[in-house]
Amino acid sequence: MSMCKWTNEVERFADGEASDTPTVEAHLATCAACSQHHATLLRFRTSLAALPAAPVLSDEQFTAFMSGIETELSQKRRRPGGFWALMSLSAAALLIALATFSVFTGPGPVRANEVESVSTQIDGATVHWDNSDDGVTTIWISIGEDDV
Amino acid sequence: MLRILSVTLLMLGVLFSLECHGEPQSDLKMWAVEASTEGKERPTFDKGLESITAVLAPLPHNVYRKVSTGTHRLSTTGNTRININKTYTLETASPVRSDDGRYRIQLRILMPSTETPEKEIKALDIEVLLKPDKQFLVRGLKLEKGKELVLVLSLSVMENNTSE
Repeated sequence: MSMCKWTNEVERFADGEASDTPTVEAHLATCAACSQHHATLLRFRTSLAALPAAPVLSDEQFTAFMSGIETELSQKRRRPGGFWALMSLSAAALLIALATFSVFTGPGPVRANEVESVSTQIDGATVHWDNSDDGVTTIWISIGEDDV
Repeated sequence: MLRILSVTLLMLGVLFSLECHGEPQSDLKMWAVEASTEGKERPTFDKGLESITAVLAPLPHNVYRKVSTGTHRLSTTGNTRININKTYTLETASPVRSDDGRYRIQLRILMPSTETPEKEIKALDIEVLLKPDKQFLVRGLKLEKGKELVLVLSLSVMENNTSE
């Protein structure tokens, strides 16, 4: 597109802001480039006017929209927290139950002393023991010919 | 709020569990006695042996002299050594509670080796399950000619849930 020095004035004319309308009209009648540019501007304006209007939210709709978002966010935040709190509570209850069980059940009746193994490093000595349920468990060592 | 409550309960549960299964404090009571047979008709016991006369009475001696007595707190982390006399030393590891409520304990009576006196040998190496506060007796270790060392031992354990 060839540029004419009147182009800016033609655009203002198309916007209805020309400073000297008769002079611009006279130029458009003689300048093919400006006349074509003016026709393009008019087609562009007509096309824009034909577009549907953008939807506008009323105040009530906007408030409901925002409260819906807040409700959804708070529900999502609460759900995992509640789950882990419940799991922690269950673990704590289980621990306490097990500890209480071990305290109150305890072992059965305690048996008497019982020797499990005995040995000696004294040469020639022998070791004996007696696991008595009623009496005193005794371990005695016999040492050679000088046994006492 | 629920989260704080559950975390608190969890910590309490862990602490309670640890408390129930912590290392118990244990004491070993020991009476070391020199037993001999002399020309006395009735057995005689040194002062301080009154609480064990019933244990000593069945032994084939009639004179019982105190060598040493005492209550010894056992280490929960390592061995405990207790001097019996100038010859014998008692060494014991920390007792371990068994499922039936008794305590498994390793006892060693050490003495100098006859060949190399600077080295110790195990005159007796005993592994025994002890019922708390139930006495048991070790005898036969030599002292002077004709005299015998008798040890009476009992274990006391202090823990919250000891069942007797």
